Amino acid sequence: MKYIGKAMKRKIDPRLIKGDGRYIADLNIPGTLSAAFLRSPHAHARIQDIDLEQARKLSGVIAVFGPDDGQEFDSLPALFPHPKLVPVTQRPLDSVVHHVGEPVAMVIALNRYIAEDAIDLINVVYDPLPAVAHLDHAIQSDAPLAHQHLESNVAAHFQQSVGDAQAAMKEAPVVVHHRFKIGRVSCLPIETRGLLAKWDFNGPEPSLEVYAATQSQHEMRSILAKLLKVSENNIRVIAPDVGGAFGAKAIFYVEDFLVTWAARKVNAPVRWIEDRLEHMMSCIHEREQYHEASLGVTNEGKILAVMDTMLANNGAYVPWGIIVPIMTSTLIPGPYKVPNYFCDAKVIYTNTVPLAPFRGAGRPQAALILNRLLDQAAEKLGMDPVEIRRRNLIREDEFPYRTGLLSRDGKPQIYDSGNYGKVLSEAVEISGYSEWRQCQQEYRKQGRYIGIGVASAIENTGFGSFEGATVRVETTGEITVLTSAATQGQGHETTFAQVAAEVFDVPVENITVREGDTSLITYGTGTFASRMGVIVGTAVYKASQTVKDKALKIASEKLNIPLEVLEMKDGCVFSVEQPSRRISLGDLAHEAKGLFPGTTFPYSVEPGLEVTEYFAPEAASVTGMTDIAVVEIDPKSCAIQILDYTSVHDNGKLLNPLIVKGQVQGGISNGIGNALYEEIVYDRQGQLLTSTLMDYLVPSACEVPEMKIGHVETPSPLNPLGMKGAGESGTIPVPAVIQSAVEDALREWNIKVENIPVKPAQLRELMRQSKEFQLVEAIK
Amino acid sequence: MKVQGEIVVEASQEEVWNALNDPEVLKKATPGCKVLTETEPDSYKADIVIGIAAVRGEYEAEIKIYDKLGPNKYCLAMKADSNMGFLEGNAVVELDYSHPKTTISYEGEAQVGGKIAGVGQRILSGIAKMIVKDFFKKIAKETKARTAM
Repeated sequence: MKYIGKAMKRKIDPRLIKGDGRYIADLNIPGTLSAAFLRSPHAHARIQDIDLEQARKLSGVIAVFGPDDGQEFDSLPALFPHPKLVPVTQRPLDSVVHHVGEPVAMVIALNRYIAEDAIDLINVVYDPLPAVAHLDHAIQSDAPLAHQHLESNVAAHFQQSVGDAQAAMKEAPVVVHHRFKIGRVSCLPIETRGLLAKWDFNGPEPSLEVYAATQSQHEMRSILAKLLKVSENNIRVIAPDVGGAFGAKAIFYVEDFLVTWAARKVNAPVRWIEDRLEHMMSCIHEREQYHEASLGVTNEGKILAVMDTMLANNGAYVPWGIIVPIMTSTLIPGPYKVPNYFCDAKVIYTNTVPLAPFRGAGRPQAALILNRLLDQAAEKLGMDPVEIRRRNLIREDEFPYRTGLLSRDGKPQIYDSGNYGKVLSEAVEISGYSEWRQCQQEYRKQGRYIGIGVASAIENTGFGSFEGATVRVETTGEITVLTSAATQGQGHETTFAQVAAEVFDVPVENITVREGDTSLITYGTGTFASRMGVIVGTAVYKASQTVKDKALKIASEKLNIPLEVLEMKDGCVFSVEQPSRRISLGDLAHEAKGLFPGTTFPYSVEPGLEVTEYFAPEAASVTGMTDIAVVEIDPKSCAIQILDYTSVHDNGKLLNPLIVKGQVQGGISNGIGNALYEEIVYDRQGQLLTSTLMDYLVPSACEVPEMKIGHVETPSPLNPLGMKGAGESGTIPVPAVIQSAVEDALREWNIKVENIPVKPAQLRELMRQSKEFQLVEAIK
Repeated sequence: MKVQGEIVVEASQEEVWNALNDPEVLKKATPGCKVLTETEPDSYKADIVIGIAAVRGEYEAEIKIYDKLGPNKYCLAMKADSNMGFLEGNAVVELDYSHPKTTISYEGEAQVGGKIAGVGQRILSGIAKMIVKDFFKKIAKETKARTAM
């Protein structure tokens, strides 16, 4: 292939690097007003009284809205219903607040300064209600209810099962247990949320234009249509340049509704830009889960059974179903053969920010469970952690592999393709695993504590339902690709251009990709679940093929040359036998439009050198990965340093290895944040204690090590180019591999590392307890 | 967050008790207190200005003294609201006389919410302890000043 699989620099970068990007805050629409929100300082409270009058009187304030206005609003729609889920969705400007940071009132003013001043003039009398924030508290029988109208805090309770895990566990000669306490994190894109809504009342029907930092413009359009009771036909949602998202911008939030509603009310464009404090206290979080898990293996280390009890924090509302815990519960077996499996999952409402998919979406948690159990089993059996993994990986000849579980779409979970053994072997090779093991012995003699962690995982990527692409040849010969995707830095403009370039055999520079606008293509779903490359990529491929066929047919009829001897290359169609008999793509586009008005269209194809194709994959394509990390721990301060990091991925056929490498690197950096630094902390009453980046630690370039990244390419049979997703896989094995390496480094203390993030303070405490325990044992 | 401590005053238990129940003394002792008015016996309203971390706020506070067992013990409830968040606290204040000094010991819980909790939590417990300690130190000082008169 000439263009697909080529490492090409991203077309978008020069513009963004020069600061020429155009984000929501950069839009300059005359007369745009600013919105600001008053947010609840209470985790759970009824608004007894609210005085908006002082705020309304402030000069420059256009309107102030509060709970009285909220009475007419519908709750946000429940997405991804599940038979076991009691869904509570958020109601805009409700008179009862269910987490700190929930909007209580909205000010529309000439500018943000005035709006914020007006916010300060709003007087609210809250009637605080008992609140619950922590998982271990929320499940107690006498715990406060996160929602007063519910009978308990359990949002959903479900099981996953294969075989008879309980019986198999009883029979297993070796059984190990491990507990996991996984902390909560923020998505933290550099550009926070924001949108600008502009109504036009002068057309035949009122119409709405929304500029939004969103991952899903089509979904946003459909929800807005429903809530505002306006036809989708009269709403256009545009996602201009979007500065990162990671899941934060896939959700539809109450602010999205309120700003568009207010713009209609005040009859002027209204913009709201989320500030960082607002981001921390109102934009979705993820990851928080507690697990108690057991693994039974044979004396040879073969997995017999895995059992897990999961508690997943849901936060106060359900913005995206219970996708995250479902994902975790179905992916704990991961790349390993697990003949008997049982998972009992409880999803718990708390008075905290809702949890919804963040890059990785439940999979980093899943990868942690079995990899860490395998560590325990390996130790018990005196086996190398790599070896016990190798013995249990699904073999290359076992694909397509049925796990016996149901996927999140309710269909049997089938892994389409993979070569996990090869991925593991390459990681062992590239990392210098054996050398590090020797090194570990040497270092120990010098009083240095290094540990080596290894983790294999999978990701089910490219979920449906569908995406679309329109491919058009312009009369200049340039090619325009319009897709239903939204881009937040994934490099779509380059990769999708590579796909079209491959089909038409024209340079990538001749292709323009446009997306993030509902006016470009009728339908779409959105950027999430590592699905754009797979689904949009295939739609672009299919549409390009059809346009190409059409162009060849017109050329054949125009030049009177049989199709079989025509070829397309460098922007021309020509006869293979007589290359001088040729016609350019631009001329063909012109021909396809009909030469002159009133003349009869001369070709046997439909007019227009343009085709729209939608692609709906039959199932998810499954990627595989193995990471190996080497860490060193200072036994005095417990500071953790990553000495070496290796990551080998099988993302199927790579469209652009340079972009995939960037995605993997970015994903691992995200994962390192999760594994070692980032944690959103609430106190027991639901007060958010980490609302600034001084309290919420994010790794900088100094904490992110150089990485060795390798690739294995096992093409997926589920799409013509053999693609698999690559946007999230980097994050998935990192918590497992870091926790594994840390425990390995501190083997002398015989401690069990159960928390994510792994923090020096916890390690110090664990080491202290371990020493005391050893001392007591010695005295005995 | 737990707040507790004790402070020793060179005064009789009666004198300390009276000071602890005198609006003028309470006003002088409450950090940042601009106005303190008695709304009904043992209930006060106060306007307080305090800066915690980067968050400076004007608070409207309600202070209530209850379960009085003079001159040995009383309970104190405080609630303060501002657009920067809220502070709430309960404390038991006990006096113990041992000639010639009185020990004031206090033990309570404080709850902080909103922006102050989010922005200032790293230093919050330190500041809360400091503010409370400061309050009782000033009570001690005022008692001494009154006793000296």
